Amino acid sequence: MTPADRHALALGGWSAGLVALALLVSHVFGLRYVQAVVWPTDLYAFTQLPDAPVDVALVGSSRTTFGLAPTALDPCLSRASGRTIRSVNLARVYANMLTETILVDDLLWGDRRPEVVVVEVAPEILNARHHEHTYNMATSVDLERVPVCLASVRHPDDLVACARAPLRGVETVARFLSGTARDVDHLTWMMVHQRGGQFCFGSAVCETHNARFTRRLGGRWDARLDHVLPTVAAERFASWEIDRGPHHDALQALVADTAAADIDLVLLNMPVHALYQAEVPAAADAEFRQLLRDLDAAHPHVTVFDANTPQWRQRRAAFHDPDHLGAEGARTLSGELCGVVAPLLTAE
Amino acid sequence: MWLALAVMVGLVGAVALRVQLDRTRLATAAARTGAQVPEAPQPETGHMRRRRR
Repeated sequence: MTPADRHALALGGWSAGLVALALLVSHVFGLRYVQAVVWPTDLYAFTQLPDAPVDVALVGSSRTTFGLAPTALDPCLSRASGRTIRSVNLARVYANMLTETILVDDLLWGDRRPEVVVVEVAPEILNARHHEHTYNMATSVDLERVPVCLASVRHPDDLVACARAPLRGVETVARFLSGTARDVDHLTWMMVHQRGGQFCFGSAVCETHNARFTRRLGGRWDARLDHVLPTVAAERFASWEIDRGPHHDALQALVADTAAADIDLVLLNMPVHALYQAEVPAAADAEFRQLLRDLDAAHPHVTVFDANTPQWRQRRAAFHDPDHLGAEGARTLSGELCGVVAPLLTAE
Repeated sequence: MWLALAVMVGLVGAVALRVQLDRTRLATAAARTGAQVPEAPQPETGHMRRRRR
């Protein structure tokens, strides 16, 4: 071996060591969710806040972040159970069942193990051909799940997404130290003071925030009608596979893991407006609902809360766009969820 | 070798220090919840912050 070879070998070894160290540091210090897109939840703030019990965890997509407010849910649950109940909204953008279960495993299986986990489900969320598959894999897959990621590769981009898992430590540490991911004051405020979500209730600052945020979302209904609704059927349902694949397996694992841990699991189908529902193929919706009925019947610890009802679909004023609720919709749905979750909590 | 070791130690130290500062800042802010919560910073709607394929 020549001196140049030895030098190259040493350089490679130190580089590999640095990559491994960054991954370890990222894991130990809870930096995993310091990512390019923090919205809709400052999960880093959640991991770094002083330990506080989480009784009810709300896990889902952007529909969950808009549609469920811990500050509306907790007073109701606390009254019903006779003790202080603390919920937290841990939604992620474009979530699918695999990323939801990764988040549950990551953030809720230690000291913060909740009594009840509410997990959003929808036909898109369970579709093996999820329309944001590559993005989700790139931002969520850890080393342990690289085989799952590789098994779901359908495009060269997917392969690159899987390859990011071992390099994520370098990425997050660099992002963290450079401070580029910390420009999310609003989301930090929501997590620290309102336990996540986009709307909050019960104080003057919340009323001001809700009004300001609703104003900022003005025009979104029309924009989504023009740019999103025409793509829903082709983008989200042209390929449909719900009885196998990574999301099917993740749901089965979640059901088994929550049963083993004695945690109640609520599967929540969020409301969408009739205009959005019209874009969901009837056969896909029927297959999805049958799956929910089967899970409900087969597992005593699973409760299905289907809020995507004909009544909700007609409430135009409850939505700020065809598949996301506004402030009043969030208040109403949080009240309805209280009625589902309260009987599952241990009374004082 | 010493340079690489120094980089590694510096990396761990910088992350640890920054995390500790964040924890202190968040704990101080959280302690205000229920007493005098400051007004919310300007909200953002990050859906649009990511370029769609």
